[in-house]
Amino acid sequence: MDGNGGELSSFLTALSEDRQLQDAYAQDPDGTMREAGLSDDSISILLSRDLGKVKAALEEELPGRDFILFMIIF
Amino acid sequence: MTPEAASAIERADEVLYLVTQPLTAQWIERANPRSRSLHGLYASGKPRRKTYAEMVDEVLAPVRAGREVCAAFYGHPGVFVNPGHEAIRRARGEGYRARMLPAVSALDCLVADLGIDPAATGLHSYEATDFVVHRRRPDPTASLVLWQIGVVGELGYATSPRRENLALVVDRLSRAYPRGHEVIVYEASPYPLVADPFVLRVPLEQLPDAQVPLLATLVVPPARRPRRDRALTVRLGLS
Ligand SMILES: C[S@@+](CC[C@H](N)C(=O)[O-])C[C@H]1O[C@@H](n2cnc3c(N)ncnc32)[C@H](O)[C@@H]1O
Repeated sequence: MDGNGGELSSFLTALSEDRQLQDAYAQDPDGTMREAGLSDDSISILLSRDLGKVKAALEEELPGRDFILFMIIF
Repeated sequence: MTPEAASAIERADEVLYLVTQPLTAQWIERANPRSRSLHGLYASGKPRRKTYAEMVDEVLAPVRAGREVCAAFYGHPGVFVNPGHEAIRRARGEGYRARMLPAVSALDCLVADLGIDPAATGLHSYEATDFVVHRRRPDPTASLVLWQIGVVGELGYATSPRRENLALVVDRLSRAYPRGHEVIVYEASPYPLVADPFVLRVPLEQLPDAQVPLLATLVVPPARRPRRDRALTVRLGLS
C-alpha cells in the first residue's frame, strides 16, 4: 500500500481500483483490513459504515482538503 | 465517475478542479499531475460572484493559450455549478470547442438510495434559500427535493446549519404539509463500498433540531395523492 496520505486513504484508494480487493472486502471486511495492515481504530471506523466517521477520519489524514462547497444564488 | 470523465481528466493538458472529498482530489492529481484545485479562489468576505468569475477566467486562460483544458466539479458539473455553465458559454462565445460531460449528481444518488422513482410521484426541486425567499409553492402531491438545506441563508463560509434558518424552511413547508409529515435529511456516501449514506427521517416540525449535515439535501415525500380530472382522462381515452 503506498504512503500517499494515511493508511485509511491508501486503503480506500486501493479498494476503489482493485476488483479482487473489493470482492475480498465484500466477503470479509474485517479479515481483509487486517491483512492490509490497518490499525484497530481504522478497522472499527470502516466496520461502522458510518459516513460521518469515515469522512472525519479521512479529513484527519488529509487535512484541509475536505471542503463544504455550496453555490450562492443571490 | 464515468469512463468519459475519467478519460477527459487523464488526457487534458491542464485540469482545474473543485471537489469536496480529499480522496477525489487525490485521485484527480494522480490521474493527471497537471491538475490544480480552484478552491484557493474562495476567500471570506470576497463576493461569490467575483470568485465564480475568477474560476471561469482560470479555466479560460489556458484554453486561450491553446491548451486542452478539463474543469472537474464534484457531482454533475452542471448541477448548481455556476462556473461550469459560464465557462462553457464563454469558451463557445470566443469560438472554442467546449463540452459538458454529464455525471452523477446528488439527485441521482438520492433516487437510488431512497428508492424514489420520479415517475411514480412526480418530482420538483428548489434550492432551499430560493424556496424560502421567493415563497415558492410546493406541490404536496409530488416528491420535493430541497438542495443546500444545510446552508440556508448563508453567504460565505458555514460550519453548521443555522436552526433559525431551518425553522423558516419549516414555516414555508408547513403551509402545504402537516407539521408531523415525515421528511428525509439525506447525504449520499462518496465512499459507497465502505460507508452508508446518511438518511435521517424526522417529522417536519423537528427539522430545526435535527442533525443536518452541511452537505445534505432534504426530501419531502408527497403528503397525498394527486386528483384526477375525469373529463381529461376521458378525452385522452384513459378511462
Ligand atoms: C453546490 S451544490 C453541488 C451539487 C453537485 N454538483 C451535484 O451534482 O450533486 C451542493 C448541494 O448539492 C447537494 N449535495 C452535494 N453533495 C451531496 C451529498 N453527498 N449528499 C446529498 N446531497 C449532496 C446538497 O444539496 C448540497 O448543498
